[in-house]
Amino acid sequence: MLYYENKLKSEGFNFIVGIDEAGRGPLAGPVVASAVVLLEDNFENRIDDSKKLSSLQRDKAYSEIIQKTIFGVGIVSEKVIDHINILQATRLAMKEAALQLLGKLDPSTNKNIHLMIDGAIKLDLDLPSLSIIKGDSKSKSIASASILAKVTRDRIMDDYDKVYPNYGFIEHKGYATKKHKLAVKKFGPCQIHRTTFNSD
Amino acid sequence: MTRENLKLGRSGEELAKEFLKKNGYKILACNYKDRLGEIDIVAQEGEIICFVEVKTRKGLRFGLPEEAVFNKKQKKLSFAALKFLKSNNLLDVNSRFDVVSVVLEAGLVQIKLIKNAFEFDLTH
Repeated sequence: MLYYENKLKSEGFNFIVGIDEAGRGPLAGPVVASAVVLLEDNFENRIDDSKKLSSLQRDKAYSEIIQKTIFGVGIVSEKVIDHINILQATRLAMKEAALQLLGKLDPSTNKNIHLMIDGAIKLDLDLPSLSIIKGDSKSKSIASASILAKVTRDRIMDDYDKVYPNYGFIEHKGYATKKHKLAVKKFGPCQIHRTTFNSD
Repeated sequence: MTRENLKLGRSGEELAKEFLKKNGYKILACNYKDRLGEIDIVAQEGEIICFVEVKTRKGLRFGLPEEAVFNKKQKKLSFAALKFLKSNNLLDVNSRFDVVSVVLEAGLVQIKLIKNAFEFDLTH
């Protein structure tokens, strides 16, 4: 899980940023991205693709990650997703996460920054970047980013469940489960349902 | 769509509109366009917003017009309807999907209204 990190370090990069998102697929809610620079290699909790962990494992990992990394989080609401599209919204969330992280770095140190992005997405940031398919199970930095993004998004959806209690957001987080689909049929859509089609 | 089909569709929509008005519907919008789809008529019946799909056919050779609102079309209409509700701040109002079928045959017009023809489907 540190192959890419070590490779880039040996090439002289000292800040390797893992970037991933959560929430491209659901019918409702925001897309959340996170950018992470590991400050330590060793973690007590399992750090892996957020989809492979239980929600309890993710919560524990989350607490550890925010202690042992520099991170940024980008949240793009369904309102913006409606206006642009989910792919552009995902890129925007990733860019915001990366910029937030970069803002936390000490401006006096010499920075050789390299981005590693999960999937095939490219960001228009003027930094060297590597897109890694299934990066969340190949790189610890990207895996950490996937956990931060997922936990952050899930907590947002849990809050939305209180505002829109008819749909079961606390259970499915906005994904198209049977229960969710039935609720939309029964109650109609609500403010956080996306009007855009996810074409992928 | 051929020019003739388009003309047929439009005249069907005009007939449907008149029919809905006679049945107590208030017309709010016609041909409401979203990136994905178009809603023929948005109307109000009592307190309920109705998204009306008009299906016009000349004769019944290709089956009943109301049978032509397929699943994919239902999804497109759902997204367009959600867009309408959001942009007009009407999410708290009850809404439904109706289909008006217009059959033109041998100079006769047959209009049928199917209330609650299908339901919201926002899956991809």
